[in-house]
Amino acid sequence: MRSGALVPGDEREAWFIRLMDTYGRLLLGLCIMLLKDHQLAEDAVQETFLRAWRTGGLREDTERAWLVRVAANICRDYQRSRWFRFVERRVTPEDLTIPVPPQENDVIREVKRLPRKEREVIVMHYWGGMSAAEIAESLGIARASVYRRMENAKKKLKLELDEKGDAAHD
Amino acid sequence: MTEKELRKSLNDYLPDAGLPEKRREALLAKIRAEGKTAAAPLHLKGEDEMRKSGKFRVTLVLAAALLLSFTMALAAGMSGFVNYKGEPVERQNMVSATPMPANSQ
Repeated sequence: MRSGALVPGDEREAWFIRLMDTYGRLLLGLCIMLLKDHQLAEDAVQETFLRAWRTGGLREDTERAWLVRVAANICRDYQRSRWFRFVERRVTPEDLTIPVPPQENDVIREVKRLPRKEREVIVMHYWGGMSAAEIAESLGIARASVYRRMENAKKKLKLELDEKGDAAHD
Repeated sequence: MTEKELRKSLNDYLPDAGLPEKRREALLAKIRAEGKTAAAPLHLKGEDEMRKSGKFRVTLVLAAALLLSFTMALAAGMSGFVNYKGEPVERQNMVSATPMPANSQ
């Protein structure tokens, strides 16, 4: 996937604002679920848009796949960094001065516990509304791999949540 | 757990909008600043300065000399060796400068 059509200089800012308006929500949700941290997720989305700007323009038919791929790669880079691994991430929301993120329910907690590869597929499909073909294109994997990851993730979620449901009933 | 529940949970948990206004403003300020920097023709300026300082000409002459010497060495290698008079010498007729020791055979 390549960044093709260049946007003329005077239209670039309008193009950039459209990108932010159209894909900001999708990318932010994806990054939150991948990084499990709202502030870091916002950093990752900012960096994604900045990279898009530096390409000089993206082809409209592939821009969503490009942005999702770059955002996922940035999240992976963040997670690999030493800083991410050693920072204490068990701070409670009460300790923070920043706006408190919404409460997680069991489903969200279980989605966050999935392996990263399965988690990103689940979020892209159920949050981003992306088809298997689009996800495959974004992640640079085969469509069959997308289906497999999605099935594995759903099985794990079902198993965990059913167990919790049973425990609650008992 | 159904797919509907999964979708609903994600929708409830994740934000409805993209980046917060402050982040958007900061990003726009950054790209505007980058746009101004990128407008300056940096590569042309560098080339002009190189021409003015004479480095361009010196580099050109050195490159030509290097190419010429390489071509001559290649031609000499292909046509064989010559003696001090400029006459071609076959490789097997060349005599070693150091005489062989008498008891070497």
